[in-house]
Amino acid sequence: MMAFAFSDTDMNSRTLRILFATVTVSLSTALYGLLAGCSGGKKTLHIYNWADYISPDVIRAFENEHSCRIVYDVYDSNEAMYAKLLSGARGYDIVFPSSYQAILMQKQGMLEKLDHEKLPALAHLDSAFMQNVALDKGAEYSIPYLVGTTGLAYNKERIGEAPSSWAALGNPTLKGRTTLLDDYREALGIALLYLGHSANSDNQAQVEAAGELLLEWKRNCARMSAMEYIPGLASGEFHLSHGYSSSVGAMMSDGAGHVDFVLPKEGFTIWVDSVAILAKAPEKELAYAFLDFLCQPKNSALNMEYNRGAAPNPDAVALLPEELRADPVLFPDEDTLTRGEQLFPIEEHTDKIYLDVWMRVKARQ
Amino acid sequence: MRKRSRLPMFVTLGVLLFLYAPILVLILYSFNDSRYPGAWQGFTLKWYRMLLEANSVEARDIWRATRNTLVVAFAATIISMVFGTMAAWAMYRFRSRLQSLHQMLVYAPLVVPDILMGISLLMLFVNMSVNLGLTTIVVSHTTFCISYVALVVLGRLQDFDHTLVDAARDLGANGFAVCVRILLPLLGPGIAAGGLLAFTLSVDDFVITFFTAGPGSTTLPVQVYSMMRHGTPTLINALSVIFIIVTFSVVIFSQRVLQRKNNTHPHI
Repeated sequence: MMAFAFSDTDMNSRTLRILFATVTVSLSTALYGLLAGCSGGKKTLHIYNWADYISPDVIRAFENEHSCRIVYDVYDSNEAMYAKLLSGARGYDIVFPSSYQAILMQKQGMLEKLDHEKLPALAHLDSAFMQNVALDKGAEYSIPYLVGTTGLAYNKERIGEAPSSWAALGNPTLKGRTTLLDDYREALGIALLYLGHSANSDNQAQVEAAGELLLEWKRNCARMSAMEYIPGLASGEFHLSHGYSSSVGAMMSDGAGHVDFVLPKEGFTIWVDSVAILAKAPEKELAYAFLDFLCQPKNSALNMEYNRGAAPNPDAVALLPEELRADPVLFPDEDTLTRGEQLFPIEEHTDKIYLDVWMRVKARQ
Repeated sequence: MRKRSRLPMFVTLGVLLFLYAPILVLILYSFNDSRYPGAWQGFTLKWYRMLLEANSVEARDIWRATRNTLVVAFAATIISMVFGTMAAWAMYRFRSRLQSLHQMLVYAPLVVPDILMGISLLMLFVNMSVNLGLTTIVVSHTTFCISYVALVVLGRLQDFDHTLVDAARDLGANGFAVCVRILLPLLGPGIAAGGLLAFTLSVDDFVITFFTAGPGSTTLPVQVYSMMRHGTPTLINALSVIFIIVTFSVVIFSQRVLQRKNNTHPHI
């Protein structure tokens, strides 16, 4: 139609040719960029992960050992990554979903069934953990990468005594100084635990009650935040935050000495991030080598130190410096851990109840 | 003499403060010796060193993302300037029944939510078994940038005096001469403005890029957003400062050039 338009006004074919030459030039610019991204002959492993979730030392060591290149692409939520891969995006080799997300992906046939012959370092994994905590117990499709808890981070200078209960989130003296995680399973999970139910409850009345409680806490809190609580706690703007042990732990080790982390008496949630190979991975052999590399104690220890998450890998833990092994944020003691509950994948109709209640909490003031 | 009100000055200062204070804070915190913004841990240049160190694992993803962003933005801008101008000319010049369909197609990307466009483009590419990468991002960005260029150029065409074309034809100019000597100079500012808008939108875009990016083609907005949620935001501060310096240098330089031009041709 556009070509019509031009012939109609007697713009001769030269004009068109010039226009299309411009288009060709710019397309080749784009192509050049694409080609420039490829390395000369070296194999490339494509990792799709949360930003900054693997220690740079581990990446460097793997690249040297296997003379390959690692290209690291990022996403910011399980849901976004899942939506993209489910629609058919290919080219990625390794992905790092939360364990419940990994189960979902495995059911959709998105993950490679792991050949344990190629993963000798799996022997380092804690068998008790694999039996009792891991969702994919036999590591058939995914391997646990790092584990942590969700609890309360608080400012020691502003709150004298460590809050022992989630009820502190409703404390009127902290009005405008608290934050809640902007994640429906985590937020409703702690409200359910506070009310004495399971964080994976499928009882509608219980979830509704949890929603009411959450609404009360929300009125007290400065904001529902995914990540802003970390700088807020560091600067002293927030005094009490519902947060992840890894983020808070990393912040505490990085100069925020006025912050501490507690796991309330009513219970808390445990998260497990796993690592898996995608069924459509172009570089499966390299991907297996990388998975094995991650499980080797030396590398696992580096990742634990970098991310402040615990790997279920006793040989790696043994390599950690003494003060890290004694860090209660990284490794809560056995007694405490019995209060923890992992978030499981829930049935679709239950999930709908959670989302309905969550929408109401988010929308109402 | 009546004393002039001080109010405009205060308002101006207030607005300037409002606009630039966040940037100043950002610059300040790029020298902070902490992975997290908020708590001042002392002065350091380590983030700049990390960024500028050749091929460091920490920084290379950021530079790759920067290069991807620029390649995509330039390509999408140039292509959409060409097609957008052609679309605007067609909408201005021809009235037919198909024209309303054409207009709808051009306006659609302005109102369709990004997420819808991102997902549907992704599905299109997957069904065509195109490998996702920079090319798919360029195509996607061009899709919405064309609309913006077309709109801006169309606005310019509303003031366009078509008798100029007739006069030129009368004097024996062929289509090419009309295009190069009448249309392009008169539409030039509009095309350039549309191109600048397209460039900005392309550099900014997150949602559509996220879905149409392939392995190795992550752009800066996706990288920065993920790093804010999970990672080392301070490195981003340092990168932003480098960007600010480059942008301001370009602005100052182009103003100098424009001033010199204005002195020779007062009505450019």
